[in-house]
Amino acid sequence: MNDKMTPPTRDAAVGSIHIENVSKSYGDAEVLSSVSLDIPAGSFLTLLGPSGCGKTTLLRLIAGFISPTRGTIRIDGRDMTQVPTQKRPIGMVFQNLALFPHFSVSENIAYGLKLRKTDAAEMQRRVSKFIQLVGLDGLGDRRIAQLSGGQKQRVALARSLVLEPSILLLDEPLSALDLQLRKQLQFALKDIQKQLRTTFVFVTHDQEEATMISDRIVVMSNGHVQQVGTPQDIYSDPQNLFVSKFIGEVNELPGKVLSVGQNLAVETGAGSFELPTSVARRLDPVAGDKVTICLRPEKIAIADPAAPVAPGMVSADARVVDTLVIGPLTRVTLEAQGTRMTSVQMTDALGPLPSGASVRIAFAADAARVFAPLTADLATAFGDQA
Amino acid sequence: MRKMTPTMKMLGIALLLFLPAPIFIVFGASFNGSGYIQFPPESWSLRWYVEAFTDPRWGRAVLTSLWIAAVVAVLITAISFLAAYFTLRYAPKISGWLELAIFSPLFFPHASMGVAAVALMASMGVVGTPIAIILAHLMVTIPFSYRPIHVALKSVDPDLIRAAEVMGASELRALWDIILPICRSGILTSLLFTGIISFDEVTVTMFLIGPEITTLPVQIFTFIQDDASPVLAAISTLSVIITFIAILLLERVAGLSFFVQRQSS
Repeated sequence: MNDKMTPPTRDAAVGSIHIENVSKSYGDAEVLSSVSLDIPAGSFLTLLGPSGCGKTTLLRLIAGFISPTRGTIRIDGRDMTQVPTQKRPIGMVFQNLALFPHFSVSENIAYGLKLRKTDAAEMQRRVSKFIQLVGLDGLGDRRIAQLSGGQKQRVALARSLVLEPSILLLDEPLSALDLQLRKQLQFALKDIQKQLRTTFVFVTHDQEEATMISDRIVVMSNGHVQQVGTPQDIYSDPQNLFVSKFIGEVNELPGKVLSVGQNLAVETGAGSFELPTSVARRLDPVAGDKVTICLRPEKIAIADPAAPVAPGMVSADARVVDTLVIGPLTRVTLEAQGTRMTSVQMTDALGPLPSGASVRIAFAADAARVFAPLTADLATAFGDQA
Repeated sequence: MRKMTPTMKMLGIALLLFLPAPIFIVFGASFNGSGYIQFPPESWSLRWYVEAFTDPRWGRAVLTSLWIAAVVAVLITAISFLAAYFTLRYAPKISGWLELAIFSPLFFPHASMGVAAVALMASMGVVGTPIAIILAHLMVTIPFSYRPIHVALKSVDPDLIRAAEVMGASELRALWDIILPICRSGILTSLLFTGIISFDEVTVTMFLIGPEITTLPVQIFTFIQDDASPVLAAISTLSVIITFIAILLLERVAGLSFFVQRQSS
């Protein structure tokens, strides 16, 4: 409350961002609704969500290209509302890179230094340092049009980092590249971020990229933050069905709550399951509620129908539809009374599974997650994905 | 490419000869030794060129036309650039209306524009001064300036200016360093084309000249009413050469494709 009097002491380094109840509307359309978020200095944070979720809007608000309809954004405790883009301690890599086509590689990188009237020798030193950092040695005199996609990416990165901003904003910078190059640059980005300890705020719609690259992920949809956490947290403990579906693969078993007591009994198309109430801790289910049981494919074990069920496991009868060996892993498509499911297991641990074979699927009761069904507005997000 | 029939070929050649024919006739007549504009010339002489260069009225009119053309070209190009840039960035919704306003001079006959201009300028008390001529020329040239600049600006990625701003450039600095060089050909097209139009403008200008000031084309027009001296042919030849040099320049920097093709944006 008293930020102006007491300088922030929580973060040793600079580059922290505090977003408080920020909303952004265009006319009647609210593209960001009351978003609050703390981004610690030196972290690699990803804003993840389907297109139209508000992630780019949030990034542009931090950059100061647009101003919030309500709420405040602070950088290192300082309110940014009245601070123009030019005065914010940020760098930015744009989706289409926005390199200056009439400048060479070094001229692009030197532009910000030139604006700051850096002396020639210092400018030379820093430009070549950052050319080296991003791995563009010897390409300083090239024109932008002579570069490959990956090289352009590196120029854009060097150009924004050379000013040593405490925060770097990246707007889907890798989306135009092919997979191979993308992987390579993801590692390069992560590496550079670790070296410089700059706060990176990265926007992407690609959950795999987000998982690989970030310390923390903010899952967004329809202008709301759905969940904030480490990639691991978000994968293993999603807060709702949207997050669960958006990150990684998931088997969904829609059903109805039969009873709530010591255990939660849910009836689904694949059978009825008794689950510990802890799997529905985000929910307060009562009998008759519509819910969805979510199971990660690797949590579904395939067992001999004759073998006894281990304690703590829940099982159902199923039939093998198809198997697909992908190196060390095998994907098994199953059908349990008309419900399709996927199990992913270590290839070595599986016996022969001919199509049509009867098996028993089993999963640890506490590995399941039970959520309320998607609201209609969130469900549309997956329309784009299919 | 389809084969041309002989008739089409003949027609084509005839057209190619016909279009620049007046230029050849004026060129030939300017070397005529006799006292009339006549083609082909009866005898050869350079006396009309000598007269054109020695009579101070002509020199003054050429200089007036040249400096007015330069001022008009620079002013209108700057105005169009700022108008196009700021509407594209901040008010894309009004851009349609703005264009309608900017292109409206094309819908008005120049004679009525002349009447309107003289009424307006008279109320400002500037008729017969360079200000009146320059203001009128700005009206006449704006469509030809706005269009190439608008097309050039529209193809510029709007994030370029944001990128420069993130790096600390003010908006004007970013315009100067980044956007202007990228739109160079559109700007040069505007400068040269509006310069040529201003240099050649007669109809509207005629309403606005005064005893103190006249432009070259108006001077030619006034002169020929009293005297059909071949000096006019010499002067016309010289002004054709000036225009031709400007067009060559235009071709060099921007290509003339802009005027013969629809821009694919």
